[in-house]
Amino acid sequence: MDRHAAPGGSRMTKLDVQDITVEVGATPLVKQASFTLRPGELVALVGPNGAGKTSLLRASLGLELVSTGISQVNGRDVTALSPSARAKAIAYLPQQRPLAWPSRVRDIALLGRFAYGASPGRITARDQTAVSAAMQKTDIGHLADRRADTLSGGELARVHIARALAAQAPILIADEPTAALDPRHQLRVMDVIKAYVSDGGAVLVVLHDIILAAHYASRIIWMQSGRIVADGPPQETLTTDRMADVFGVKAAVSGGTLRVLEAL
Amino acid sequence: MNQHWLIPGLISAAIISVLAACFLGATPMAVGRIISALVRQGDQSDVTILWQIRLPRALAAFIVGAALGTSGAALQGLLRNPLAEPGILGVSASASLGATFVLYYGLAAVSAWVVPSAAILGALLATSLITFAAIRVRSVVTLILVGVGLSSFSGAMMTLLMNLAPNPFSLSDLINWMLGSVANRSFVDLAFVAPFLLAGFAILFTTKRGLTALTLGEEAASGIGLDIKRQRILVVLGAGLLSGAAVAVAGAIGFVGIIAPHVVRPFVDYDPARTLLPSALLAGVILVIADVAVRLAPTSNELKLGVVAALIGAPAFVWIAMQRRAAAA
Repeated sequence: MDRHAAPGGSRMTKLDVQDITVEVGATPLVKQASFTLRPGELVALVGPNGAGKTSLLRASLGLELVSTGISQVNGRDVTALSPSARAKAIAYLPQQRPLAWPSRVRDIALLGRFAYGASPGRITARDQTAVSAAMQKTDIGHLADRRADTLSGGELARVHIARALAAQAPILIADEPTAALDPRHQLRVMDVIKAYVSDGGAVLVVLHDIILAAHYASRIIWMQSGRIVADGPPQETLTTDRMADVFGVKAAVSGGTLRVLEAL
Repeated sequence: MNQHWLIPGLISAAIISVLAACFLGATPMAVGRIISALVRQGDQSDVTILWQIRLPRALAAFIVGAALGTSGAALQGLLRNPLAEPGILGVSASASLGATFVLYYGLAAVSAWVVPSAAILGALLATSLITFAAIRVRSVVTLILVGVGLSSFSGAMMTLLMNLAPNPFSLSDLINWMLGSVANRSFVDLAFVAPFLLAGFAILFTTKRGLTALTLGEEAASGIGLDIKRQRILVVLGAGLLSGAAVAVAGAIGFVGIIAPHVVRPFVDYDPARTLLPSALLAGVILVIADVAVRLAPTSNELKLGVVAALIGAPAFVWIAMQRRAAAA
């Protein structure tokens, strides 16, 4: 794919988050978080509800006001980028994805090209190629003319991912893309994300399912009460102790597989 | 109807309705006499009736409709809510308040720009307040309630002004502002609001793509590269200019800004950007036709245009609201 020819990206696009603190009033949501995301990496961000995962994602994108720290794409502060330059570098799939209108699937996917100036009446050959490729990868080509309100949850999730992929950004940040999906659709979504990483993309994804995270991620970032408490490959960081510390559950971990036994 | 025929069809309807409004009235005029009068030939009284009375009135109705239809469509796109509209959200009432304030405190005599400016200022304040509320509350129902509150407040303030005003206040003036009418409008009245209207239309048409992006929700729209703050400011400004100018011409006319976008939406694949122009045309046509009905209705006192608009519009509003029962969380 010609993703890396996209103006916002380059083969070496890297996201560098340093020492980020996010506060609402006096309450810290994220405390001095640092991590790096490189091409070819699929990094899962895990932690209990309220650990600050979404705030950290938004701060990494420059959408959340930070009290300290900086998020950089290839050495450039994300908050200094124009919204469209940022969108060309990082595709973002937020957790809440309410559609205001029952638009057609192809028009939703096309919104991924917004930063390139595309709209239903103005589509370049390049936009068309990007949208078609994204719809093919997410297997929604046959739904192109359907209205969003006629889709199942699994289909809709793939439409949103197609929208994100259509941007052909070198980095993808996704907040719980598998939420409320059945197991088969969870795997299909993760397979699409994995393929994007194999093509040289970098992904930071919030997952609630630790088993899914352990299966797909090259690294897991563990968050608890606003802090990153561990960052490393699943084999090293997924332990019985960590499950107890971070999630407060008793779990059995062996060879990368996990069984949650009871709440502590 | 096919998408490609929507705009040509509406433009034809607009021309036909304005022409029809020209030859229907107390003095029926045949098509031949209308055409002679349009080119300022033929009977002098025909020319006067056409150029001084019927044409400005029909154009005023069309322009007011177009302004309300466009601001309705843009506000619906911004607030992601098919019930948003200057009348429902209290924007028109606030604009009326602004206009009556300057009228009854004698400020209107200072310059012909005072009334339109005051109406627009009222509309801008209300639109900003509503948008601010929309950011905070996120609930459709609450937002509509804020609009209802704003409307009631503006109505109460107008009554208060009426009691306190140094100039004698006639009830019919108040009714004109609250219920809306395009009777006795001249080209001069239209000329004074023209700059505001043009600016409003121009601003809203620059926000088109952003409205489409907002289909995804504000979070994802920021993600794909929309400058949300800028988008909000421009829509508030454009919608405020248009609704304020509409009120300055015709007083508060409700509901047309809801109905037109609602009818148009299925024909443009629910794309908020592509609802703007057809909503403007359709809302214009609706008001021209409603005003013809007002003129032809065999009532002893002429009906108010806003009354007819509400008679058709309010039931339609309820119907649209009922259809949203599932999504209105």
